[in-house]
Amino acid sequence: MTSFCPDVNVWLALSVVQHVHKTRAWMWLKQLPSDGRLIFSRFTQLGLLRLLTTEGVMGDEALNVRQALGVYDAWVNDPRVEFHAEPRAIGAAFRDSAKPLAGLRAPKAIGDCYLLAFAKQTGATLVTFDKALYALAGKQGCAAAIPH
Amino acid sequence: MPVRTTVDIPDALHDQLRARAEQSGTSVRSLIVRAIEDAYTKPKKGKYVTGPMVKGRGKLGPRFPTDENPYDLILP
Repeated sequence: MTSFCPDVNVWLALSVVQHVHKTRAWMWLKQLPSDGRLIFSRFTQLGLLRLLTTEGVMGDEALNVRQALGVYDAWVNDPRVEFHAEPRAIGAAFRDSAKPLAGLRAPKAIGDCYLLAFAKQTGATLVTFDKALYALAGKQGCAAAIPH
Repeated sequence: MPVRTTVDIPDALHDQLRARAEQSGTSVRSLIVRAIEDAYTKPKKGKYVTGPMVKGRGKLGPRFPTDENPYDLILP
């Protein structure tokens, strides 16, 4: 079985028809191997819910909490998708991932390093549209993919 | 509560597991537990999502992302 860990923006692209990368995200999903599995972490679960319910993001299409949970529920009921609890060693893995960036004032690195640590700990391939995150994954020996 | 158990694994398989664990930054234990879960848990019975569920064509907000994760909005 091959596991993939989409970042929050990839989940958003799969969930919102107007996302600029919707077509790329769906082409990638449709080409998954038959044993491919997509995993939510708590971080990506809450992140997706927050974005879907934020007017500054979704504008006229902002969902209420019930509707956003409905989107999430539909995903985790999909046979290809599951929620993965936080691995026990995630704390140490996160610190390892953040070590090369320790001297930077870079709040973005916090989220990126957590995603990398989670993907590594679960043996999943991180899926992102963010080229910088993709490059960082490569430097840290974490499998990653950009949907094309 | 985890249960401790002892299983004899062929040398070659153990070497493969250890290499895979080092490669993916996880542990041999995690790989074994995952494999057992994959093999013996019941498959889920749900509907496949076939397209985006938010289908409205209303105007999106100014913070709608393109490539990067908007962490300032994701993290509380």
